Amino acid sequence: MKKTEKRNAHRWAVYTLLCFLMAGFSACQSNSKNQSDFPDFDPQKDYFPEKVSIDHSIGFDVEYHNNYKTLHLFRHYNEVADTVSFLLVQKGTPAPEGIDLPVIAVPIEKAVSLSTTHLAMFELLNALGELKGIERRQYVSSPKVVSMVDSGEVIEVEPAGTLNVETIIEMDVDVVLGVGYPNSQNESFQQLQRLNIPVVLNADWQEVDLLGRAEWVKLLAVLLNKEKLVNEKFSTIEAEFQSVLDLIAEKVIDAPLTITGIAQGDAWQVSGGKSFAYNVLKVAKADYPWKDDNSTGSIKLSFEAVYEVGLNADFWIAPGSASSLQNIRERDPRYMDFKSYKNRGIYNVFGRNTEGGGNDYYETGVIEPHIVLKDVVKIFHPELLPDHQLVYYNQLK
Amino acid sequence: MNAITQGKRLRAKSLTLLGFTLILLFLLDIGLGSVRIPVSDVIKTLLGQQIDNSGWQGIILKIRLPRAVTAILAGAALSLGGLQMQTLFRNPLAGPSVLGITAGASLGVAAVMLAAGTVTTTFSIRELGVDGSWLIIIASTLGAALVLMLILGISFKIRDNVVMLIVGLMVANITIAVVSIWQFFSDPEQIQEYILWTFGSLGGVTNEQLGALAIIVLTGVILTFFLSKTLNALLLGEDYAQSMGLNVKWARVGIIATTSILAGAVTGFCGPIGFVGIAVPHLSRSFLNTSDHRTLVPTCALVGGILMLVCDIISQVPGSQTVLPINAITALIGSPIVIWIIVKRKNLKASF
Amino acid sequence: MMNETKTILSTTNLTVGYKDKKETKPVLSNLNLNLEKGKLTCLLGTNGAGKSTLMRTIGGIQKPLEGEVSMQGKPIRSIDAKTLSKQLSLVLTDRIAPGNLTVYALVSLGRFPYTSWLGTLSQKDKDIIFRAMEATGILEFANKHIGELSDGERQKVMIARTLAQDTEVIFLDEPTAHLDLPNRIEIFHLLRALAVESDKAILLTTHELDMALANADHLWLINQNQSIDSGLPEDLVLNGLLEEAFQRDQLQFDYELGTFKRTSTQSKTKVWLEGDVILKRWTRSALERAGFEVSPNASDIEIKISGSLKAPLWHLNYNDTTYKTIQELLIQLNTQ
Repeated sequence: MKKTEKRNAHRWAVYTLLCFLMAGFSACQSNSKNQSDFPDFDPQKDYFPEKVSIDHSIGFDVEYHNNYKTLHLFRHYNEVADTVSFLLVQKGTPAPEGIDLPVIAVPIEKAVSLSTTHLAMFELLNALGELKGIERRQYVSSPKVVSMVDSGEVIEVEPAGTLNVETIIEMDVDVVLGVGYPNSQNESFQQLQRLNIPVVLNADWQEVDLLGRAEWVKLLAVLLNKEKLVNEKFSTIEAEFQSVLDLIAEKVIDAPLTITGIAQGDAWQVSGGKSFAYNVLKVAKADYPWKDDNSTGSIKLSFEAVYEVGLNADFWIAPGSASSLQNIRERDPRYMDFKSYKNRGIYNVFGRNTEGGGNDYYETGVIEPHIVLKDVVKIFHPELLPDHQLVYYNQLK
Repeated sequence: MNAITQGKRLRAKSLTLLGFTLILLFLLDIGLGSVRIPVSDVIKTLLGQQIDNSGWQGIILKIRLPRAVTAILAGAALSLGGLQMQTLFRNPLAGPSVLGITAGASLGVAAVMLAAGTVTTTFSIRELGVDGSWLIIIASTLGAALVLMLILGISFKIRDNVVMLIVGLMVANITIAVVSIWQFFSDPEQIQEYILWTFGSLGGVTNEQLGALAIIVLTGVILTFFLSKTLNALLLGEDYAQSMGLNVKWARVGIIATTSILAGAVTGFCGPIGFVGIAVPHLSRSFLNTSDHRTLVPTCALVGGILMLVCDIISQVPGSQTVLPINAITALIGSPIVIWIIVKRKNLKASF
Repeated sequence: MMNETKTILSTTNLTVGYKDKKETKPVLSNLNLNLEKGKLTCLLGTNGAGKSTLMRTIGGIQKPLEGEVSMQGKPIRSIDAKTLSKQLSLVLTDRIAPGNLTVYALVSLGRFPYTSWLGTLSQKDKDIIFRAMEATGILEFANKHIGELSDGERQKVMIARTLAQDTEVIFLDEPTAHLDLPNRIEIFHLLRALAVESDKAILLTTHELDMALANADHLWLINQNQSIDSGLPEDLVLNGLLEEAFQRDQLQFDYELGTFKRTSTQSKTKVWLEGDVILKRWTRSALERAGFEVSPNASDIEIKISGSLKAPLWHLNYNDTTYKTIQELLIQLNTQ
């Protein structure tokens, strides 16, 4: 889903929702069973010999105990972080007593994902068998998932814009992986939670860098007890990413001036100086007029304020929904004055768009931060990666 | 009848004063903005001379100048639309949007923005060969025209203007309902794009579009001026107007059509800008203390332009990097003015 | 007939009323009326009798159900609005209050049929407006706004507007409905004077019997048979048509006073009254209100009025006492 930017603006809705979820879960936890119900349970045994550590993501963390893991999801608001926690208890073992948290039995076997950002993670962890429901086929890029929907293995739970709660209940899933953005269906989530279907909210929009966003794959791995596999895969990604960073540090001297966003109405929303979107450009060594800004989301500027710098900026990244120079021209012919327009320096993230409106940048791109970074480096400093072809980014023509 | 000539002189004086105010604010609007440009450079640019900073020149000539002209055109058009509706319906709260014209334009825009995501429409729109801002303008004009045809059709059947007013409001409601159903089934980004459009925008009109807008608005202004005598007769109500030889039905058609042209065009180019259409006629009436449309039409056009320029200057938050939505500013600035006038002069009710 | 040439508007077998898809509702039928120049004609009828319907129909606003209205021999519905507006002008009951319009501007609206597309006034137009305002006595507030005027002044302005419209026929619908007595009299006098002096045919509707009887040159009286009796007011009084038209239970026309009053079925104490005509008239009025009947024949109670108009005295026969006010007299009569 291509909503990363916009989610920022709507955090409050998420906090409200989370408070609800927390209150709801703590109210319905009273199902502690006697240890004698679990004859094979060995309290001294470490059921999770392979562990993950969260090094980049600011959105979640995992604590390991003998037969259960505690998953913490953090929501950052200014300097304050809000926490929602779940107990992930190994199947066949009792939940710890005295901890008043919602319980999810792991490994999960049936999951519903409401965000395309999860799909590639399922695929990466060879867990497509556990994926039982998705939001809408229309937005999906992965041909595997599409064919699973067509064959009926995966069900669309939000075919008409609203979450179909009854479908999910009928599916009897272990967990719903939701999205923490405003349109997330508060009421539907509350309904699910009242029916003891845990909703784990993905909030990768608040990540500050590419690796942080990619690391959410570990959350899925934790739910699937696939720590070993994820550590292997993620360390490869990290290494690839680092090699690109090394290359930049070694070679790049000059940073080209870049602008972002596009005017809508009278205002032009550009990425904030602490935003994820700008961070991607920053690590690839681009100069940015609003680099000293403190906003983690986007900032609204007047048309002329951006126009003035846009005239001389070398690059223009992610101009809204514009996908061609003709688009740009038709939206407003004044864009033709821009240096980036004249020099074909306008790029968007529509390299792997599907006809239905899906975009693989928000799907596979999430777990391929090194490719995304290579794309950006290729745009700004083509001489560093002469052989690289743009994957997720595309040059507007 | 010395007093009559005196009134004429006052009228000429007021119009001159308003004209000067308009020019002053026009220059001020061009001079102020996020980017600080020295007055001398602004003047030089406006006089057609070259200045060292070509970026500033672009900002003045391509951004601020068309926006200021748009503000004047939009203000004048909406005010005249409101004036005509208030006189036709003899209702102080009537505005250019009462007949559902704005709602119709919104429907057209919603059709483009909210449906654009689906496969079929994306392709059919591409085949049309139009895209971007012109598409929005064409869509909103078509939407406004659609509702206008409906309203005109109904207006031939209905004699009573009060009934007509209610019918117009209901048609607007139906149109808005259709849009909201559409919104419900749309993606957040598409809804956001639509919502941004509803905030209104004066800066989206580029030089090439400005020509079209100017021609439409000026046509509307001239038509309205031609309707002055008719509007005056309607001040006494339809029965009197008819007894004085006015063909009330055709007068109504003319007035509704003119208002639609004015309001439809502005809504198409600038989005739905509220309040100005209701407030300016009242401001103008109390400014000159007259109901004579031969005076009111030019006054409304000038006052509308002035108010819109003031709102635009404020919405640009001079000296800051940001902007405020024009639609909010027109309401924030205008409403207190109207309240003040009503309380002070107590003549709103007496006007009808 | 001497008045033949004076007739400007006439109706033949006219039926007025309302029609919808299901049925026709005639309000007044078989009307053969003539409206004459130089006369103030009053259309008199009770509330809801169809005064406005008739006026709208003969004014060409509403279609007749049957028959025809002719203006100077031509069917009125065949005359185009513009031509008709130079022959017929209206003052309607709607309270018109465009408060920002000046008196002068409103009166000049009467020139609407004559002016150019923009409504610019020629010197001739201005002269006519001036004369209209002069004739109605509103020159002094030419620059006042309509909102600042009293009801009576406003009505004069509306009349001035019809004069500016310069038509031979003027219709006024209930022109005195909201006015106090002095204003009512003034308006009636003004209209009568305009009719006679400028040879206009003025038709007004009213339900005020006394005003109509006192001022109308001609009366159109809506009777109880959904038709109209036409004639000189006094003729209609004397031939009993007026009484018939307003006939109600417990209502009786007093031929002497020219008004209706309530009749009581109760048997009343009869009183015999003698004295000056004026004093007798007012004494009688008070006695009748108090439930006595003034009998032309001899009675047990005899009241003799003496003294001057300013200082009258009432002498009661049975106790041989003299009273200085009617009130004192009534107290005595009631204690009996």
